[in-house]
Amino acid sequence: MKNQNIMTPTASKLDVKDAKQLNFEVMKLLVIVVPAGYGNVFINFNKRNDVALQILDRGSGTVPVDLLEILGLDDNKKDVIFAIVKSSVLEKILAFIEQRFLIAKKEKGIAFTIPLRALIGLTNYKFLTNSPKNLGGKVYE
Amino acid sequence: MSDKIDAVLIVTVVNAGFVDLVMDSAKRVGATGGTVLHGRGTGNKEIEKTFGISIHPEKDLVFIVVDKTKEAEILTAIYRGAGLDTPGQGIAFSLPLSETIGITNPVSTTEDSKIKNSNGDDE
Repeated sequence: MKNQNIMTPTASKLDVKDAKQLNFEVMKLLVIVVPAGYGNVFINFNKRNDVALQILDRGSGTVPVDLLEILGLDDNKKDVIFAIVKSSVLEKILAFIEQRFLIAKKEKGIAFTIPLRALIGLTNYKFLTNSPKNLGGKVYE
Repeated sequence: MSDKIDAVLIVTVVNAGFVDLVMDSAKRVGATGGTVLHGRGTGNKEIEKTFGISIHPEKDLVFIVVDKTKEAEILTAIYRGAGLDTPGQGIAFSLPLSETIGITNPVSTTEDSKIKNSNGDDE
């Protein structure tokens, strides 16, 4: 059988260290869990701060139903927000979340961030960071 | 700013309706609570035939934030209580977290409960 040189596509992977060297903004997945109906507060704030991609999902807490009845609570439905946030606005968004959790009685919840390991596609990067990217003297728009 | 806690997120994908298996196992070794999302598995029929197992398409995702020191213990407990050998057929993995807000005590240890009890007795 004739040998064939099979070309396998190789994807160059930018890890966090490389991203910093190339002035790419490191991005993180921000997850916010708040009582149902209060997710829009955070989604609107994120929108005003250049967060291009966010998903609102409906979840529930893990408190048993019988315990909820004892506590006199109606339900334990939650709004869960997944957002890709660039590092330049992350602090501002986290500060807002922390402030809302402190001052708004019914908006108690949790939030956490997970660092993204890699991202493929310059278009995706531009979309997620909402900015044209200048790389190596060329402006990609 | 955000709390300085070395926390991890434990994600468990389990058959719909078996969240209690996961939470009971996790709580037994110190987890306090979690959040459940609903999803649908995409496992194909070929795998079901090959391995002779049935895959329920409806899934629950359980998110539990815990202290890093308890990560291995809780993962092990979930594996034993709700793993692939159980009706829950759960798969659990953990992700590192950078910042956390609103999580002051991700796990309550048995020592903590002892302290609380002793404080209550004193009062």
